[in-house]
Amino acid sequence: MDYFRMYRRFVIIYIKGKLEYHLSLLFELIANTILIGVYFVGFNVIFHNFNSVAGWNKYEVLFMFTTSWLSYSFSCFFFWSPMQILVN
Amino acid sequence: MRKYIDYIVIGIKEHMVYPSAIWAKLFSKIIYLYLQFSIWTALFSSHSQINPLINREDTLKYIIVATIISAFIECNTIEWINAQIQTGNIIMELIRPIDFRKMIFSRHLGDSIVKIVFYCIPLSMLAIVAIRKPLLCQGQILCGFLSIILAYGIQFLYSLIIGLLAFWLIVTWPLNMLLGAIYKLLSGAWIPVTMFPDLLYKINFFLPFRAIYAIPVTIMKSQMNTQNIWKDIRTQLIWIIFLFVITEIIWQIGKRKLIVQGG
Repeated sequence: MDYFRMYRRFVIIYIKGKLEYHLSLLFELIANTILIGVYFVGFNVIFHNFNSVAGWNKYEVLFMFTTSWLSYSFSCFFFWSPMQILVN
Repeated sequence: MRKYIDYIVIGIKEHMVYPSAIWAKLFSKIIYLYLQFSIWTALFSSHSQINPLINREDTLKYIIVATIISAFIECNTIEWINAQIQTGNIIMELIRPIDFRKMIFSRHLGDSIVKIVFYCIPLSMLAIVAIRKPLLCQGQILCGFLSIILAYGIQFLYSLIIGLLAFWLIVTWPLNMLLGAIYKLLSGAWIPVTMFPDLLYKINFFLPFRAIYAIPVTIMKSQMNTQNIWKDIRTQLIWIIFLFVITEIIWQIGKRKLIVQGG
């Protein structure tokens, strides 16, 4: 239970830390949005030259990519970023 | 000069301080090379190719050479400057009787020497054994190395510019993350630029990114005429001069704007 409380504390500290620098947070949100756009462009370049990858078409590949990105983002929010406080 | 050589040695020592980290990085680079190889092999094995101008062998050679070059050309200057500004240590760096930018370059050079020895050489040997075909165009190796040196300079100056923007932004990692993805895409590190659609190819023509990977890798692996090689090398030289001027301007203005956090 103590571990859970400590973890919750880490998440709160992390969110507060993020909200402290407004410009940095805004920049981070924009950067993340454009970043995923760049990956989409990359996929489009590949599918500009190929119809499919081992039978998977463009939309199927994009769906898999975004699903993986979503789970990665959740894991970063709940685990990686709060735990970074321990490292620093 | 002696003090910069000392910084090169520091760069080497810093990278070698954790031997297990070197092994882990080498292992990750081997996995990355294998992934790239597998993805492009899967793409060409699908027989779903639309563009008739690209072929499996050339693309695989391109990707392998680009991955090997990326193992040492990539630069952690942005993260380093960020950390120095955020911790306030930059003050200590700035009061030393040395040129800040030359000091960063010396550290980076030391870091790159370790990367060449521990990552590039093993990766090259592995690739040669796996492919069993010559990866490089023998007659153009010297021009290729010259082009890689220029690309190394462009990559460093580009990283230094983004790193120095921390004088204004304090935190540049979101900018680094954003530009990092654009850079990886447009430089040709992930996908050969010859595969780009017309519009993207034209946009990329006016940006420095292709001078970092696409130009040196193409010179290293494809047969080209001398005129085209020198035209590409001239493009790289122009970008180096341009980025150098930008760095100088940012440095002169930025050092007056420096805000130190913590310390």
